[in-house]
Amino acid sequence: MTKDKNNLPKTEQVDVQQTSTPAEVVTVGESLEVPTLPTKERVSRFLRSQQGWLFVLPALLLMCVFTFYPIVSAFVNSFKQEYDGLTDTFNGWGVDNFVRVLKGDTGTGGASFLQCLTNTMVLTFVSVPLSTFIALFIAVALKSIKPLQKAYQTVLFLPYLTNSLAMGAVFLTFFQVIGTQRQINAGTAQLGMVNDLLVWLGIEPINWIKGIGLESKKDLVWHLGSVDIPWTKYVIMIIYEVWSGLPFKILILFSALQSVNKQYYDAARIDGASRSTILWKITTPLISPMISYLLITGIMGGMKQYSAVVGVFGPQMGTNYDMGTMVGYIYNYLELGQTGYAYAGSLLLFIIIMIITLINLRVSKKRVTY
Amino acid sequence: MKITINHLTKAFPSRNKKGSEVIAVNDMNLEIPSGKLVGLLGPSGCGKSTTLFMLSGLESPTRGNILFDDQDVTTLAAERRGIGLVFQNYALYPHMTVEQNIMFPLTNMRMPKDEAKARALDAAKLVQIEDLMARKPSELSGGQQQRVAIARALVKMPNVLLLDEPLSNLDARLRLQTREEIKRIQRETGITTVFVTHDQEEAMSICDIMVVMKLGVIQQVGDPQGIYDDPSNLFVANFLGTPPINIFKGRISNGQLYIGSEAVLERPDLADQEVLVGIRPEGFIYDENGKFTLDLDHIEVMGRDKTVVSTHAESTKPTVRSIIDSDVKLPADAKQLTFNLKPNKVHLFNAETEERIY
Amino acid sequence: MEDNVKEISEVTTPQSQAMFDIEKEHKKQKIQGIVKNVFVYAFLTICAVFAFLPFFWMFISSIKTEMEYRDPTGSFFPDKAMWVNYTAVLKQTNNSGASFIQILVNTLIVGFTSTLIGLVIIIITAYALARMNFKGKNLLFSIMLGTMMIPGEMYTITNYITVSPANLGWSNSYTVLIVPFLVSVYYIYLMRNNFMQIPNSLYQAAKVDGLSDMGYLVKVMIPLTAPTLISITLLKFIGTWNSYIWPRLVNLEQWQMITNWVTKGFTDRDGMVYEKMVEMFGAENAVNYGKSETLNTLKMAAVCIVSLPLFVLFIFCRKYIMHGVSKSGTKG
Repeated sequence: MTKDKNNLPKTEQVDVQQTSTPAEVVTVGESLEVPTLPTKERVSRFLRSQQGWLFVLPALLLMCVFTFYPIVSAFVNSFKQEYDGLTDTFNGWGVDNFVRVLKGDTGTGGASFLQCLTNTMVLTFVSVPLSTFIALFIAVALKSIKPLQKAYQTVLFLPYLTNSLAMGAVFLTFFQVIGTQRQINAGTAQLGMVNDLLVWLGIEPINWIKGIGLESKKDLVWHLGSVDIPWTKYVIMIIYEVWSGLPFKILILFSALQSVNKQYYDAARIDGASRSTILWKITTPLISPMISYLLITGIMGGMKQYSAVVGVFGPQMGTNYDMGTMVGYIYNYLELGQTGYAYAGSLLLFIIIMIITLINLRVSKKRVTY
Repeated sequence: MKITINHLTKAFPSRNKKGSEVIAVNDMNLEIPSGKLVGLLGPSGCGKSTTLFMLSGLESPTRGNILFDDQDVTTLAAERRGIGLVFQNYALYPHMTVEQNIMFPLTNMRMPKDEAKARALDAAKLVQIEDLMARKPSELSGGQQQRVAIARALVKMPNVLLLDEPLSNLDARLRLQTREEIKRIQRETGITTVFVTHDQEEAMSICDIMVVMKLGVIQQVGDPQGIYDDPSNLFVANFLGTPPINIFKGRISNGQLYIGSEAVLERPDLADQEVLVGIRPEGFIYDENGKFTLDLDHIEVMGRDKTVVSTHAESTKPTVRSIIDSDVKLPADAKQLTFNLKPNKVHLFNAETEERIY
Repeated sequence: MEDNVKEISEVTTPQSQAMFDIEKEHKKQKIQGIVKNVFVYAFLTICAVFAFLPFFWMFISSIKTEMEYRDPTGSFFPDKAMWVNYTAVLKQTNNSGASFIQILVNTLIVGFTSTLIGLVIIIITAYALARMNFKGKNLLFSIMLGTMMIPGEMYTITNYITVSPANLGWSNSYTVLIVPFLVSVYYIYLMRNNFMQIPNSLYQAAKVDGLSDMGYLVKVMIPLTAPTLISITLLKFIGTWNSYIWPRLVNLEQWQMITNWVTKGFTDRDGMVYEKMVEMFGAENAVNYGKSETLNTLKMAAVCIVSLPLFVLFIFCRKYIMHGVSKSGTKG
């Protein structure tokens, strides 16, 4: 074998018969041109590639009219003072609408902005964490049993299907006192299931709707300056909100639990962790993204609560909107035809929700593990 | 701690109504002496992981019992058995730091925090990750995660250490390194250790005792070299050894072993019968006048030795591999090569039962 | 069993946990197991009762007599069932003369139409966002996502003006109940993600087999994502069924929906209930509440009627509803 200069065996040269003419060599610098299509062809190609637009057109058109336009106009119109929606007239630009809304100057004796805001905040920030917390326990409990698991799941999901208005009325009946004052004194009035329970426990029954102790006539409403805290009514709403909010949260948390790798539980068992240790130190951190999601969306939804309160307390939301929520407050303006105020109110609500959500996101960044 | 397994069986019910149940572990009896490193070895589906999990308590057996030092733990829950388990995927708590992961078993035992921290540090030093204590598992490499898992399993000084395929998720270089680590750690701590693997090379290199399994049944138990030199059946012989053993159809006639038409070895004590012949790659000696002829395909040069790849009509495998010392000169351009066989590298198996007969 | 163990030099045994007391461990395990089960089942049962109680009460109340309802002792199981309550409720027309049937028809028409058209829009929009490439796609998608954050109430006001007689003049019609809500960005987002999960190679294979884009959508993608689509359909329908605010705002009673109907007060207008009470309990036990007093039992009956279809839907489509909820995270 011959060797080349690197001492590697040289491969033998084989002569290949040249049968075809060698291809032309392209010198560097010459570009190989792609022939250009005629303009008509190019245009039609472009149009065809953009046919996606055709598909999104219906949705886009609808959104322009019913979503984008309203957002813009809400923003713009809220700054039009004395704005009349139906005639589209206004009287100068300014923040007058906002001022009026904040001062609660509706002119017709509805509730104040502050009261509604307080109601909404209290209801939201009590019922959402509470129902999330309870949902966590229920989801964990469900996960830990085998027999009857599906049955319990089904029953616990039932509250989801209900109409918030319809069920609100039902809940009301648990707390409602039916009968005249004389009947109450005589003990012949229907006190409602919850009061019956209180009596059985030896506690004074309460007129939950009015906020008065039934026997002592004690005023059970806390008054803080211009704001009232009718906590008896809050109790009704909170219980209702928790009841109707549970199924969804249970479902989400349950599937979150199922997605946790079983091996972590096995490892924790081998590491000798007790059940509560596993729940708090392992399970909860691992599903914390879901918990955070539920809290954030729950609070966002809670701040917009309306129909549930109407369901329990009627379209007037108690007497003169004293149980009004922010949204109820806004709709009140609408019904009175004061669209300018309504716009300002909804914009304010949006800002409040944004602020709360941002705070929420900040907090959850620190505590949530992904 | 000594582990005794009696008549251990695990059957999984079939998924549909018609199928039969799957028997993962079939009437296993085994005694594991205290302080030894034992490997459960076998192909996938042989029941080794199932056995390991039954030892841990995470699976319960269908029949049989498990004794730790003569105490029956079969019905005892996993959290009470005092074992350490290293999962195949490590199962490190992703939201805790390395230090918290290792300390976790100790805090569950209600150990005071300072003591737990010190113990965790000791365990970390044992596996050489003391610099990584503040990191989270997602910030560690595979090998480092594995060592954390081992530290966590050891920190509570368990009676038994179980490892589920500890090396399968590591790359080749890390595998070599880590298996030495495991051997070293086991030696230093003296804890009875059982690990599961499908890699026979891995098992052979570090086990004190090897348990070869197939389809839920123990094939052979013994020390690595012993099993290699003395396989009890064809499966074991075939499973151990790289490259794997060569297998031929042969027969005993008049005290001679015939493969094909050639009499390759004397076997005076055996009756005439059909046999399966297993010849280890290192069992071939090149001899110009050798008794056994192979049709040469090609030669692979490995540097330290050569592998002769050939074919034979009676071979049950497509090729026959023989390892020859690199100093041995083989004729160029040969179509056939002749060999003599080393008697201790030739194993004979019953043609039907595949049990070893010589 | 062969034992070829080589003798390794003595290794000191670890300072491990001393031999544990098996008996004690076993006992502790057993007790813990039982306690855990008792607690968990008790807890779940209490929660289940809590969840179910309102429904039970609702139904029971609907078949009580009004007197029984107001009776302080409050019974769980009435002696006789006043099914006439249901008849009375169904027969009543509301103030402007719209009957229950009318309202039901409204709801069904609106429900089916908006669900159907909405579904088509969701599918084609999601398909375009998932599979097609056109200029500005990502921008469009981000804008759409952004709108999810904004409370619906902000749109409502302007939309109310938009559809009022001054502008579109859609008040008091089905159109106004259907059109503004045809686009649900949430479901478009969900379906887009679903579509994106179908591998591209499937599309290429279908193309080679001669399938057009539209054909691919109809013959491959829709069947593959059918479970989610069914869930969305159900949830959308349930959402329409439960809608209250918008119908109340824009339509007069004749054109309103079933949830609006429920909020009306129900009275014993035709005297039907009183008649039945006399028949079943005797005149001395019956109280005639007259034509103008709203009766709670009738209200309960109305609530039952409104909730019943949802229950039926749930029984048959439980899996899809629950699957859809967990995936989409909204009530519709």
